[in-house]
Amino acid sequence: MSELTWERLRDLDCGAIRTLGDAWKTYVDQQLAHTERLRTDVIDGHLGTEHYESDTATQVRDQIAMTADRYEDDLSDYASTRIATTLLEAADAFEKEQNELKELVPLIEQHDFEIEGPHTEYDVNLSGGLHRAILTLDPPQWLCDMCGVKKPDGFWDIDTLKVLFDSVDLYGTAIGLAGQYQDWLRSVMSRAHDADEEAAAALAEMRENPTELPPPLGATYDDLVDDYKDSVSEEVAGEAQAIAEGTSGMSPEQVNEWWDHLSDAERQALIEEHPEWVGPVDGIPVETRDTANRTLLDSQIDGLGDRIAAKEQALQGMDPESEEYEKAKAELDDLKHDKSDLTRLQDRITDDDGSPAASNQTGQDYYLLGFDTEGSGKAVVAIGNPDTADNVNTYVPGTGGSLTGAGGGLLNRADTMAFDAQRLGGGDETATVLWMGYDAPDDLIEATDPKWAEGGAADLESFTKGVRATAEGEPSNFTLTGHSYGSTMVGTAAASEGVEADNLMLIASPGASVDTASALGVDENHVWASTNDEDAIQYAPVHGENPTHEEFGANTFTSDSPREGSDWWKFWEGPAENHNSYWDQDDLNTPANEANDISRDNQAYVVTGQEERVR
Amino acid sequence: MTPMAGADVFAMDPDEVRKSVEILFEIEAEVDAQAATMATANAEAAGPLKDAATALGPALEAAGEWWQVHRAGGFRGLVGNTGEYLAVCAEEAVEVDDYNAGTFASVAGDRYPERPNANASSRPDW
Amino acid sequence: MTRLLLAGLAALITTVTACSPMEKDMDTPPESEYQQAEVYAPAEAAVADLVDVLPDFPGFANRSWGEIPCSHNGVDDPNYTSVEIRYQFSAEDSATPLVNEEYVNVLREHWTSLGYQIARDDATEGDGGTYRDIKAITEEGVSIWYSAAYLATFMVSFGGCVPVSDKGEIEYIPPAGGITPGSDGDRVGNYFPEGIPTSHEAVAPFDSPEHFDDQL
Repeated sequence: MSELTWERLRDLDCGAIRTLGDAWKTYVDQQLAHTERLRTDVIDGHLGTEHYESDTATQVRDQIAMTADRYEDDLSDYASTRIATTLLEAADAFEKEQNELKELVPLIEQHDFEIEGPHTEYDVNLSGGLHRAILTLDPPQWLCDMCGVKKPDGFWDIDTLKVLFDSVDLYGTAIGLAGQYQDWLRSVMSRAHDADEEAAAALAEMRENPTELPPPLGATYDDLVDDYKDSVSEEVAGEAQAIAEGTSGMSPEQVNEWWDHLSDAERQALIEEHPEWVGPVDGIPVETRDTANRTLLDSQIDGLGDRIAAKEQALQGMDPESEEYEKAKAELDDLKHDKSDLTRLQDRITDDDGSPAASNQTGQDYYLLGFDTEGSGKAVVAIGNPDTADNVNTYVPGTGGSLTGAGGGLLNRADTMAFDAQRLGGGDETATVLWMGYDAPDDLIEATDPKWAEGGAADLESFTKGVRATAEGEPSNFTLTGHSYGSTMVGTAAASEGVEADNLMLIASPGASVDTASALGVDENHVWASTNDEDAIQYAPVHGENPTHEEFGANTFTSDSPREGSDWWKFWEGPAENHNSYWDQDDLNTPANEANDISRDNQAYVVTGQEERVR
Repeated sequence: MTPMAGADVFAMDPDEVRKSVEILFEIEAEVDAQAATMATANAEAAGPLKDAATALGPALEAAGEWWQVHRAGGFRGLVGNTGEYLAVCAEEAVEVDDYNAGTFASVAGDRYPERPNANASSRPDW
Repeated sequence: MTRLLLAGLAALITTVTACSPMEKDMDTPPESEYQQAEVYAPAEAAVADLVDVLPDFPGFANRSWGEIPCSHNGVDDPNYTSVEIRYQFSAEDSATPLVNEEYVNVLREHWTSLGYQIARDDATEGDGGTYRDIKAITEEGVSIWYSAAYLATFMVSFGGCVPVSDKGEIEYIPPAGGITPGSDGDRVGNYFPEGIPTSHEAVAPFDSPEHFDDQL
């Protein structure tokens, strides 16, 4: 359990952590020289067959080779991937939050606020001095500036009276600012604790189920060595299963190192025999995941077909009036619904000849990065390969998002985003990912609850880290685009867990879980927000400050409101319809100057790193 | 290379095998020393992290110790064990079927004066 | 703030709860004049018309039929879709002054002469040069957006949100502007899983009917 306080985080020597991580990497290289020497100087040298030949000699050479293999695997899996990489990732994560503190704490102090409360839930409050200053009509200059009043000069003049009458505003403004700093501080510490606990878990899990060592030569050797060899053959499968089931404690970067260290044969065996341990795993390269997930998709559709047939047969023997029948019928409907969703998704990403399809909008291949029929269903589909793209835009849908949409409208919207990025991207390749990877609220009432975003935060964090881990060459310009509740999802993940993204784009947002862009862990100059002026969501910032408000501190861009009510008196329709209209072309009723092509352009400019064109 | 009596296919050049043994013992010693150095550096870095009440601090310290004792230590032990086994083969110039904890100590003699009782705990059936 | 928040919530939430006299209106999407299958022909014809207007026309590189989801009560409605026809020039042609600048001027003049309202006419500057956007809505209600950007593109839509048609109901329309039907540049194959009809007696790609009544 991380009990890191903000003061201790501020004072932490991240350089020392990084130096130790580097030392472990150097140590690994140093140790690999020993195994190399065992192979060249011993097995192929002094202990070669020309000097030593017998059954026992062969066994000894095998033993030395097995010992070297084991140590090399240990060095890779434990010393390098686990210990060194954990330290380097932790150093980066701590330093990032430390830099945030270096910016934030002076601001808190300059404004005469105080940090109070336990490290799990810091409060930023007005100091006694600041309270007194406001009460004695001597507010600090910064507060007068914020409220637009002239600082009283000590005499009971008009300015003093104005301050007296505005004292509620002064208090409110000071408390509001303190609240923003509090959000910022809590987010910083949440991410620091998250990084700390993830690092500790990665190291602790390493020791939980270590692989066996070869037995030593001796009387019991023959009895034990076969067991050891069996355990080695099952080792990779065990690791893969633990990673897929989330019990390994490994970060996507560590998973990627682990995957790289496997032999081609081991990788192929996993893809073919256990695609379920490959397809959904962040940190495994995109092409490999796509292959595994397509196999899984075929198999799940077939499996659902079998279950539907069995259920239909069972229904024939039941009394249609019975409760049993009703229950079985409902289960049958669910199975059919799941099969229909998966088949629709499959049709969308597969050509008629069964090969992977390309988007008909951009010509980029589709990559299936995950899917699930549980609840409303999930799916992660990329248009273009995020591992090789110059830009990656990940679209996180909001309320009503589901597997059904992922094979239909949501993917259509992502296709349009991909099309716009290609149209405006200057020749750079942009991969557009539909990340329907969380259980989204089904309706706007459910969307008032933050639990959906909290439930998906760790997965979104992991996905973004996976994109970084498997990227080939230079890191991409990576944007997370959240629409509606999807922006709450993005904001929650960014504030509480931390996301590896360059830009955040919050569209039609009911709030990003915090009151200030500074709390999102991404340079606030790269936080973008847009809500059209008809969208009702602007009146319902139920998850924090409206991100388009100046107080939030994000950049904003223009989005128009093309939808109208179907009749003049249906006043409620326009505000509701304009909540989802950010990619719309004109409706027949659209005022001529209010189509949302400008929003599409602006989004694409952010995604392709052309902020200078944003309007 | 001298064919050995009593074996179907058995040939050994004891001097070459002894050179292998020396390399194995060198690696054993270097791995041991380097693991100790790494563990010390690790513990030193873990200290401030523990002081800062991080979860990482204690986990790092435990990981360093675990590595030194169980993984680097395990490798070191196996390398040493194989070296000792080969040393016995070279000294006795026969296949060693019943190698155990006492075998190496009994033949170490003058050739490996530092080792008869050293590392005994890593020998099988100790 | 509290009052606004509640008002906003009410605006959104009342649209999804069926507990008021307006229940029927709220649960039923606005009626549409057209079905999805009916909106392609007017949009395609509008592009074909424009090709005649553009001087030294170099030919399009590709066309596709995009769809954007429609929402009802703030949530996407899978039964409705909005169609956008997309015609794109090659990157090489898009970079020419003819396509990047002159066509924008030609379109402005053309649309103005026809009395269409220019809905958008602006430009941005960046490392990739000047990107220009111009847009008009024809008197038939076809929205035509020309984006003279890295890949200069016509994006044409008609009918707004329309009820989704079965794929079999959507008629193949040969592409305008020099794209060979069924070629790699004709990116509509997903609507015709049985293959793009080769002997289709289609609307001539460069001619536009006087009106769309018989196609709608």
